[in-house]
Amino acid sequence: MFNIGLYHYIALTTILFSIGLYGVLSSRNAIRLLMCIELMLNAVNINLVAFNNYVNMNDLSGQIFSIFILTVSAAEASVGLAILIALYRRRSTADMERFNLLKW
Amino acid sequence: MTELIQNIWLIPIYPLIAFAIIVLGRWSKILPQKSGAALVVGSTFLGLVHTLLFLSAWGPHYEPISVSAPWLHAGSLTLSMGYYIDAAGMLMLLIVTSVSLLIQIYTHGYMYHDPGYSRFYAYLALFNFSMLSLVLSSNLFQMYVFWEMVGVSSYLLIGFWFTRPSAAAAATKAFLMNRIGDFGLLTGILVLLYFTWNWWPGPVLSFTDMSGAAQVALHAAGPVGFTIMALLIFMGPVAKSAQIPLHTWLPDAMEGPTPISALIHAATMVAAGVFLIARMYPVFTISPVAMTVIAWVGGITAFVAATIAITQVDIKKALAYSTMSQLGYMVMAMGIGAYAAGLFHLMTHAFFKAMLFLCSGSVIHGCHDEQDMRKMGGLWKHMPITAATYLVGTIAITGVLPFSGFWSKDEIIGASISQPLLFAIGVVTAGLTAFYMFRTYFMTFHGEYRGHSHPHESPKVMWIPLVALAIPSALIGFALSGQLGLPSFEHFVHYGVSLVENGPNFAVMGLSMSFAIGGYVLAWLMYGSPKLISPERLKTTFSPLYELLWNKWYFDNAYFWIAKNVYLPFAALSAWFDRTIIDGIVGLTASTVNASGGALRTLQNGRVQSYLMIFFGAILTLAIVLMWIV
Repeated sequence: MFNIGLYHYIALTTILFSIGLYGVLSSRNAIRLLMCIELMLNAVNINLVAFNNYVNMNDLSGQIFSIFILTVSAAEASVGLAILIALYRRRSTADMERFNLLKW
Repeated sequence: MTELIQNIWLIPIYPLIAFAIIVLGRWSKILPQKSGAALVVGSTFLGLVHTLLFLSAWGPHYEPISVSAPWLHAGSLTLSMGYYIDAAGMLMLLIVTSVSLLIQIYTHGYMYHDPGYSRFYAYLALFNFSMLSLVLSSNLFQMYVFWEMVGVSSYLLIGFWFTRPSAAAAATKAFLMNRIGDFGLLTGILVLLYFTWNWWPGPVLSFTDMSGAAQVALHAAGPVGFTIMALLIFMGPVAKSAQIPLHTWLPDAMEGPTPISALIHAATMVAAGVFLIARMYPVFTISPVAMTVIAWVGGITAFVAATIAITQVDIKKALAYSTMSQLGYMVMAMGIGAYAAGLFHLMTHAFFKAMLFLCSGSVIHGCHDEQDMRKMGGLWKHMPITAATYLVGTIAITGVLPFSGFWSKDEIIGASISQPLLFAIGVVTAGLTAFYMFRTYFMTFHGEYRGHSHPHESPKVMWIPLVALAIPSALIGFALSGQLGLPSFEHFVHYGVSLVENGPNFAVMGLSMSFAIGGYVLAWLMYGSPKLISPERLKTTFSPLYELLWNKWYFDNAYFWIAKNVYLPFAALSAWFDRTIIDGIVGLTASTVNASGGALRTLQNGRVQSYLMIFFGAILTLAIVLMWIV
């Protein structure tokens, strides 16, 4: 077996982030878009923990930071879902293509 | 008495207070309708008394007094306000206060039934304030400020009957013509200031230091630049004193009420130009070219105006051209170095011309607003006092011994003897003066009445000022001529060492007086009792000459032609350039912005995902570019 190093973590988070980004850019369903954002946030979290472990082992700032991000993202998800529900009630759809009122 | 000397600045303040009271009082309807006269006459009387008290306390050597206080700080420049009084200033103070006082009394009778009575007195007070401040100005800049203020007063008073289109046009014309001159004056002042910026030991542009400043400016600018500067300054007097070529406003200014023609456009304001030349004499005297130009402008004006006056049929316009001609004499005197003679003539002219204008006002009043002399005649019977005073004025202006015009005008002509051409102009103009003045006199007061109304003598309030003015008109020249054992005018008023003045020259006086008598005889033959020469036949015989004079040497036509064929096409071209080129460039900028905005706005399509696409695409591009570079 081979040793797992920082580069592996970075590769994992890059793949995870890219999948999330692809999802954010291409989903037509707003719920899927929200879920993909969570995916991107998690990729960032893994990155923080990995860097903390390999670069600076004396404190746990990366870990603590990721906890904060989790908390904020939970709040953000609840607000996002609430907005989505309000939008759905008004427009009867969750299609991102239809949410384009704020334009020229 | 020292309080009087120190507080001479109060003299212009009295009329200013009267002005403020009338304006505020009439505005708030507190002041009764006809109270303007009492206030303004009172303020002028106070000024006259203050002037006389000052004069009695001033002696014995009449040293100039100058007081200045800083007024305006602009960068490294500090402008001052203050007062400066010397013999010439004192002379002007006396003229302005005394002539003003009599004219303001006269005005009460002349304007009594005019609905603008209070407004007229308010303007008169404003004018008095401006004129007295101008006379007392301690530096050139302050003088310029009040110079413009007398211009404004003059504008308001020419256009006093502003509902008449001709009066409104005359006021505008006076304003524009003076603007041309004042542009030159201001430029000249700024050029002088530029060359002497750091030099002034006392207040900037003060008259006390003017001769030193003139030397500094001559050194800094060189003779050519200095002459140009002097001529620019001279442009102010050219316009204000109605000299050729900026004279055309003065005859038109006769649209104003007659007291104004007497006060502003004969006795005081138009003389301000001569006074400015006197004040700036240190500058003019060290530029021989400028002096020559001044002398010739004055001489030509004196002659041309006298010839035009011959054909005028409007009594006020004839007097206006006469004023122009006499101002020409004064300017010519300044130009040939006869400083005292010029100011002497200014003084005598102020008295007799103010009186002549007031007489003409009395005639116009008595003939029910008739100004055309062809519809007068025989008025001697109906208004003897006016006729007698007019005759005194006519003799005075004609220069017949011993009336005042004789001493002052012939002193100018005598001083010009070193320049034969100017001397000839002076003498011939003296003859012309006698001719046109007696022509107006005969046409108005002799023969049969040719009008259709019932002429009557003016009320007491109008003829008393006439009689009061007749006394100095007749006697002041003789009194100050130095012939009576009294000190002569030049004893008081002189510039440094007298340049060419050498007292009365009786040979010259005899010559000019014989020309004057010739003019008188001709006028008598043509317009007096015998009517031996018919003016009508002369008119047809010398038709081209008559046409030239009748059309005022075509000055107005020429200006009109220039305005129509040069100025207006140029203005049209400028307008086209502005609308097409300038506005075109501005419009192009606007439409470019508009079009690019229209193209770019499609980017804002309202879809969050496309924004994100651009956002991440940009980051990716940036990353790749940075990798490339680093």
